[in-house]
Amino acid sequence: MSDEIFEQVKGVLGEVMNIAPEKVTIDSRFEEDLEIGSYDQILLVMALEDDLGIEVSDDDAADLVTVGNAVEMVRRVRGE
Amino acid sequence: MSRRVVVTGLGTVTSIGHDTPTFWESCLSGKTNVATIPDSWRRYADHSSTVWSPLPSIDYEARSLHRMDLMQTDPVATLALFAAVEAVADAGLEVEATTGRQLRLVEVGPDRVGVAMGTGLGGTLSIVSTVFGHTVARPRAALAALAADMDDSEAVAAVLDDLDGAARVSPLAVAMIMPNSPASAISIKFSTTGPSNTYTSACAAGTAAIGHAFESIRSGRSDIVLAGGSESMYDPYGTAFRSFDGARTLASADVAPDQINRPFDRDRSGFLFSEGGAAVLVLEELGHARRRGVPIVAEIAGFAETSDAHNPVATAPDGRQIERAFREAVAAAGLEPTDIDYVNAHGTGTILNDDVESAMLERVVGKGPAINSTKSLLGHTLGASGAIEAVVMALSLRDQATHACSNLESPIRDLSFVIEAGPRQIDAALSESFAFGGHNAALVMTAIRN
Repeated sequence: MSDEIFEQVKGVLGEVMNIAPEKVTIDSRFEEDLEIGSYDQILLVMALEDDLGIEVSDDDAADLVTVGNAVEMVRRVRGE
Repeated sequence: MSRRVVVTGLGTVTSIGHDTPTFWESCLSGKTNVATIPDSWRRYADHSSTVWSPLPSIDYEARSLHRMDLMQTDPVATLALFAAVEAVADAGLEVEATTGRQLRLVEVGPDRVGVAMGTGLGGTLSIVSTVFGHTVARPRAALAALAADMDDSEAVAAVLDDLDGAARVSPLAVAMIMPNSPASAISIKFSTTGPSNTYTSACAAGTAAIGHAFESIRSGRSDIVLAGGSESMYDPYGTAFRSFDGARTLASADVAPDQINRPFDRDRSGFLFSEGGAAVLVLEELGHARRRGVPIVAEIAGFAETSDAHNPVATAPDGRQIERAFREAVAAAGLEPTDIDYVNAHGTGTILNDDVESAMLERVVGKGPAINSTKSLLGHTLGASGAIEAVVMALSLRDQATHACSNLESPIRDLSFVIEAGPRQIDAALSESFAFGGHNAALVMTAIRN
């Protein structure tokens, strides 16, 4: 399931942030590796909410450092 | 000699055309777009007026505006961006992509490029949706939980349907509501770093924005300003419509929808509520435009503003301050009122506005100039209207043609209203805008003089 979520996160990063899929790994850091700052992380979370039909609280969205954190966030929100 | 300011690019999105050529063709052919208000609005109020002028679906991708652009802006800003992309291309300003989704003007220093936008209401959809998400979503969920235990839950289900809306508040809500979001979105999109300002003088905002942009270039602060106005008044509950309807300002006569909007006609009953629209004009210092070798649409020659200091929602019946705005704009252009060949009137279709405006025109210019109302085609787009009408004025000068006043069968005064669209010699034109709050603005354009 995490692999599927990872692919969805990668898809949103490509569509919304213009990040090439080959640049994205589960360990990619948003700020340092993908140049996605805190404002763009808000947009990323909003896009994930829309695409995955989830509602992410401020606590859930806190402390996103890596793509893996975002995958974990989606799993947590879904109760997986 | 002071610097001269010309128009070199136009961008327009309206209910009768999503680009400037289509819009202008619609104006000249007398096209209108009047429809019954959305059914969802009727769930919340009984209205006197039942028609509006909606925007057809807009293909933002066609102007390279993608999901990220739309996610972080209210429609008031995305409409402005949509018009700005057309205006910049129309002005022959080459752009290149920078990092992310921003663009950069290639041959123009960004510090010398400004933005000036008008809007009456700002991010209407965002503020209404945010209020819903913030105040209604939890009580709605609580009501839904109570309804689950009720025997007769059908009535409650109907109430819940009426309380339909997204149960969240966007972290970007403030940035999407703020009235400066159209100017901000344009500045960020095109990486312009000159002065970027917003004029919120309601229905005069678009004219004021262009006037101040004109003065910014003339004074030497900027070489180019992307100037105009934007408005988006749709929300799922019809909030803005209800407010105007409650103030008894909307067209409400019992006639066919395509006959209801009739500025300057004896049978007028109010203005046609428009969903909104936007227009952006590229204003440029004359020498700068000539060095770039681009076609010049028209010259901006004069601008003036006055205030009624009378009433928040009604123009002053004596018309003294709208007359002063007219005369001072003409004087600023170095002209006399008799030099004005064409007046794009405010012409809303309300009883009071048209009476006061036409009386003023009768006093100042009589039967001299041709007069029309672009609102007779579009309805009222509030803060966008002055900018859209500036586009019409520029095109009328360029093409030496005027559109007709739609539905004008029995004029309230003996003035030279345009009844049939067609060719007309125009050397100088004036557009005037009057607003809730008593803000008046007038802009004079001339055919380019060498």
